[in-house]
Amino acid sequence: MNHTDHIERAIRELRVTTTAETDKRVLDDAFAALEEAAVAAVILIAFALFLKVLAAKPVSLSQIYGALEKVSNVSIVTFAAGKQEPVQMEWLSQTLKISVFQIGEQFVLLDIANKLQETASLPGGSVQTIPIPENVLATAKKKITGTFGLVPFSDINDMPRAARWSNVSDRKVAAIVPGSKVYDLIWTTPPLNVEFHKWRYFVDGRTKLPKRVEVYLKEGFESDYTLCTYEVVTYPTEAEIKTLVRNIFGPDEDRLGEPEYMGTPEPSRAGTPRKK
Amino acid sequence: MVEDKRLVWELKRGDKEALRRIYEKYKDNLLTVATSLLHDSFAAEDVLHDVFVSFAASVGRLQLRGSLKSYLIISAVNLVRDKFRRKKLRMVGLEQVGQISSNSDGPEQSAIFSEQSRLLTAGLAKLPLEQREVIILHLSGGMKFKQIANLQGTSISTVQGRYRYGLSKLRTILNGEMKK
Repeated sequence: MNHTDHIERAIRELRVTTTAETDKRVLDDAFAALEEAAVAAVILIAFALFLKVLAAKPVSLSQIYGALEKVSNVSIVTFAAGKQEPVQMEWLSQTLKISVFQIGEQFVLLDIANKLQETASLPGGSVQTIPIPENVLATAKKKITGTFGLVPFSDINDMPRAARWSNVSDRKVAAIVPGSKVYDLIWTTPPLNVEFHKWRYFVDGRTKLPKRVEVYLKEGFESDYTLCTYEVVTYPTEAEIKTLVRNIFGPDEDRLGEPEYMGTPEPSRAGTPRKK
Repeated sequence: MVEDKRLVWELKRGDKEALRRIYEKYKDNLLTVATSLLHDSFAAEDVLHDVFVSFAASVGRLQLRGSLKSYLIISAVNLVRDKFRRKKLRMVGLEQVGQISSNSDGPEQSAIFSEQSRLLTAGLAKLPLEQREVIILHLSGGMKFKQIANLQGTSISTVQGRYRYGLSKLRTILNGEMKK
């Protein structure tokens, strides 16, 4: 044969055939892969359906209370209506028994267990430690227990009977926090019942935890609800809060390891400035 | 083409018989392409195996835009390229003819190929990979130059050039073999 004349035809006619052994190996493994993929697909579909069912169920207010009571750490960023900059940032930890909040460039740590209040001015400022005033301590204790101030009534049973919990079906509203379910809690303040309150909840359908809470008020039947503030809520881990505290107030051993700051400080020690 | 779409549709529903029929239909073509590209029958069988196992595993997500044959051949080419990268199989230039030592000139290769085919694939193995790909994909795989250009990420004219130069080199190589 002259290769140079028929080279294209010869390549076209090249034929390599598989052996029966190869066929068996390939098909056995391909069938196994097909079965595995089918099982994985079934699991995936079942899981997707499960999530869909979970997400489709309406969320009740008591579920939100229940979900918040299981949470140990919360971060709340508060905004005034129409403002882009937050009014306050707050980190609360039940397990660490601390509350940290930022106003402007000042950070305050309320160490509830040690009854100490530490104040740090950033960037690079000194940390001042004083005993927590009793009224502040009581408020801080109340805030880190239960529902972190994310519901207007610390006990659901304290809610006025006429309060209404309703789903907000407006898609534009739901789009503010994608993937969330939106509910309004509306009530009036007795005994006059002329002050109308509305807290709007953007809730994660799966965890039942609020991701955003908007606080509205209207005065009188005729007026409209006005947005006053809104809170963006996230749920950090204990480690994340520890890191935050360490970064702002210094390492634990520096802060809490010094004997003069353990327990309730004596009045003479209060207000002693300490470099970070 | 219509039959292939129906087979893929059935396969997506977990029909093993559809997978078997697709395999029977394309196995020899894929093995020929892989063997011609790699010049190594063991490695080519591995490519065939991996193409079908991966095809079976991912068929649920498969959105077939072109033909099934092209899809499978392109999968095979990509695996071949991976093998080249992994094993650092170097492209063989024309000036190195005579120094080639393929690891597949053993009895298995002889059993599969006739003498003529063996000479041809040995000659192809001496071409640079890009030229070899164009020639094999066009002639054995039945792919158009445009499809090959897309696969190689180059222009049609470059692909046509690689085809012409490749064939010319192959003729030279085979003429040299014939004179021996």
